Amino acid sequence: MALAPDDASRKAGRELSSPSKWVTKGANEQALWGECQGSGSKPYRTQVDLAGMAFKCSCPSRKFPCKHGIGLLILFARNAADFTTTEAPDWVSEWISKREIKNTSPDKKPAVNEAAQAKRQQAREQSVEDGLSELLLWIKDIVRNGIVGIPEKDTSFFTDMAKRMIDAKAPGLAALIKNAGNLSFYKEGWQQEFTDILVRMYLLIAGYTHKPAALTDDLRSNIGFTQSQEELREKPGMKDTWLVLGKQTETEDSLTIERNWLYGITTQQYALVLQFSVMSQSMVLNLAPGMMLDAELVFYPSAKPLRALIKSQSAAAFSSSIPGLSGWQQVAELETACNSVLPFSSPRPFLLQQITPLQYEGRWWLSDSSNRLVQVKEGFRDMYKLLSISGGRPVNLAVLGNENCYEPLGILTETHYIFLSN
Amino acid sequence: MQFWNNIIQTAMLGTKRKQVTADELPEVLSDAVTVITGNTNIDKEEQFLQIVSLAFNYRQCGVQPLHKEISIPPAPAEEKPYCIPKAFMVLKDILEEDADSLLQLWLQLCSRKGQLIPPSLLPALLDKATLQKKLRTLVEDCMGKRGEWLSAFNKSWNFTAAETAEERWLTGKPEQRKEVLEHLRATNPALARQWIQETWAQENANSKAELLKAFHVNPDAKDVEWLESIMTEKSQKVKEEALNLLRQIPLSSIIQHYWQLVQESVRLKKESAFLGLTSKNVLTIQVPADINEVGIEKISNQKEFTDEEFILYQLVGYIPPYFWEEYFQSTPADILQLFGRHKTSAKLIPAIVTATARFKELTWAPLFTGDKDRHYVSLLPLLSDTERDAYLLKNFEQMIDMVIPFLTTENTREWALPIARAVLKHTAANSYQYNRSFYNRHIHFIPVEIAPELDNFLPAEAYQQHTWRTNADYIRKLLQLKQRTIQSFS
Repeated sequence: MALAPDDASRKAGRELSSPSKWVTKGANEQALWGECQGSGSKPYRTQVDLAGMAFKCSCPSRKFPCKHGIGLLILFARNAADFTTTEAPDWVSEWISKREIKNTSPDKKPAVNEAAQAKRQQAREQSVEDGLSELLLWIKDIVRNGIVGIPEKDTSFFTDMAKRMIDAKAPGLAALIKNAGNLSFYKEGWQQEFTDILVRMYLLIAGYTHKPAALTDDLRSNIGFTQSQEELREKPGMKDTWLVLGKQTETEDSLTIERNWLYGITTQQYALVLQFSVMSQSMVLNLAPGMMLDAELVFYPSAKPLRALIKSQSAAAFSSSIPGLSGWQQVAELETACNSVLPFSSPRPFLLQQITPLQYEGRWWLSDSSNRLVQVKEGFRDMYKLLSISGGRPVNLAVLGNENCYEPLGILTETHYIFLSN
Repeated sequence: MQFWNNIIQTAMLGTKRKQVTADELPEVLSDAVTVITGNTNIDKEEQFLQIVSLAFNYRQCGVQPLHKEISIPPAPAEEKPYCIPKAFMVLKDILEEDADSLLQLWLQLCSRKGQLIPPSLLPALLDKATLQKKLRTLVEDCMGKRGEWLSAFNKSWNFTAAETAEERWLTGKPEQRKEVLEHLRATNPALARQWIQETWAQENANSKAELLKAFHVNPDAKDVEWLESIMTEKSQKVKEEALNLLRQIPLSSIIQHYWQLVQESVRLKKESAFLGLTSKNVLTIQVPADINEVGIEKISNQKEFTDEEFILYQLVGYIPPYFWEEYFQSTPADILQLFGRHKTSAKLIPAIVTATARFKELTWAPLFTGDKDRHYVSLLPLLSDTERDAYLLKNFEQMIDMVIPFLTTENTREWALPIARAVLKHTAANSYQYNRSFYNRHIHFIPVEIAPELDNFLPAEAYQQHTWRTNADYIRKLLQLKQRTIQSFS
């Protein structure tokens, strides 16, 4: 269900998980396929590549996976025995072989006009610099007058400046401004959150102006410069068996941003795989929490690499021995090491061993085996699920957060991973 | 972090009013702050932003987790086994489908098997039980020690607290107190009476009337004395409720008085027949003119009854049918035959049906099922399963308005296949009235075996066919979940 692009698709998928909807259905080790009777005369042909967890359907839906793909997967999960295990029909085997070829052969690149590219790049740099100067004035104005008056500001105070940053081709900063404007000013502690965002913006402006070599890539990506994925794909990646720790989906206007948090069980490296889709169109990868992948990941250049793209992948069996951190002190040390080289880092995932959820002074905390505690992020919805599974005993827990506040992502047991938001 | 509070204070006021000073910050930052504040190339605002950036990084790097020995008692070990993974998967699907009637079935089967809900689904089930009282006992049965332990952390799950019935009676909300009393009436009617007598003086009129409703469970001859004593209460509501109860107890004075009036009105008379060669019993009906009883309408509201007949009709409705057996020294079948012989007495038969239902006379109930002109839904709970199904199938069309409400509310067992066929044939043809929500709520009554037959109920009207096809798919899906539920616990 975690693969569904939205609630409507999830619901429609469930509707289609009835066997009567499927004229034919079959499965083998590589794929799952079925013909679903829709409103037209011909049934829709739906197929799922189980190795790469990719979908294809002959229906006209723009959503990805479509309701037929989700319905077929649910039906398979519920009644695998009903699926005939035969050789895939031609329409399935053709698609699977095309996918295999595509995964192995490099794409042909169009010729690049380097002079024109350099000119465009220079114009962009200038545009960003101009935008940052304006933003600095805006921030200084706020600092001079005090943030006490911020809650009374009209929304245009933020949206106008965010638009200006979009025009200046600095969408990363535009997003920070929007975040500042969207804070809940009725909530206690908004002052700290607002100040944190101001500082983050200032650090990016100052950094971009002074251009410290070690932070160039981080500054550029945070401001909103894009990195060529083709170039990245050519670089050698990190091969490992990766566990998908969590998935967060956020939709703003018509853009859906999907954040997938991964953990390499040998390298103990964490990764953030971002995907974007417009108007609920297809995401390239279908990752679900708890999934294990044998994959090669290429990390975006950074002083503390986290964001990555998946260069190649195949499904892997669940591994029972996955190492994790021993406690919060170790997390604090890693955080400190990260902040010392990257002063504007964002929340990171961690996998810890032997964590016990507990209540103290009316709040929820996560305690490690050395009685060190951090707070659970306010508003975390599945606290009771975590508590119930733990039964007051330690569990191996994946979390996402920073400083002293973390959001539990999932529980790792000997046999499987329980995603807490499912 | 006092230094950060100092920064926030300055940020709130603005640099035109206040500037952060080195002594407000950690000593380790002093040198850097001095360099920043000494830089005359930047303005006060930028100086502040640089100091805050420095402190921000210091704050993030210096975070230490709280060190405190806190523990919570772990959940005790379970004494029962968890349900099998297959049952767990079905439960997840049922919760996703929001099929509460199947959830109830799942819990019933789990409870019967003496198994437990897996911990990861306990919060969802406890939330469901908070909203739906009917699930509470079942959830409590299946939640095990982990559920009890977990409930202690959430006040809204307090229903699971080991509170005694007496505590709930003494301190609970009005509806909880009524619920306790109803429950107690089913198991220990005398104690229920004792409890209400003890608090009666402190209850207000509304509460008295509401609590008395609990006495509709197992009304008993031992209740009579007390119920008659409260007929002197000032509140009309209380008096009406007490009267209703007394009229359900054969030994109450009111029923005895009604019986006396009825005996005076209905008499057995021997008439000669076949030129005096034989004689036969006939009933004579003579209603006394001056009957003026509480709770009995004096003016007929039915054209086929005179006012006197209507009074008698009402009185007969309160006479336990076995009184007639003793009065006429005859069998129920013969008595009914006797009433049926004359037009006037035959008009009283529906009143005897009312009395049969009121006093739950199981031996009398089947006698009325052969009536071709009248159909009595009130008798359905008194018939055996076979009698009831046969009666329903024979009169399905004529009783349709009453049958489906009965089958979905008062009935508790799964419908037999022929009943399910009759119901679905009707509901398929009335898709606006019986939508998906109807099938979702009542799927536990529909037998799994009906699934292959659903297409047979396709309505003749083209405009209804698409809706039925959609509904049939939905029913099939629910039936599949039901089948998986049953298989998981078989």
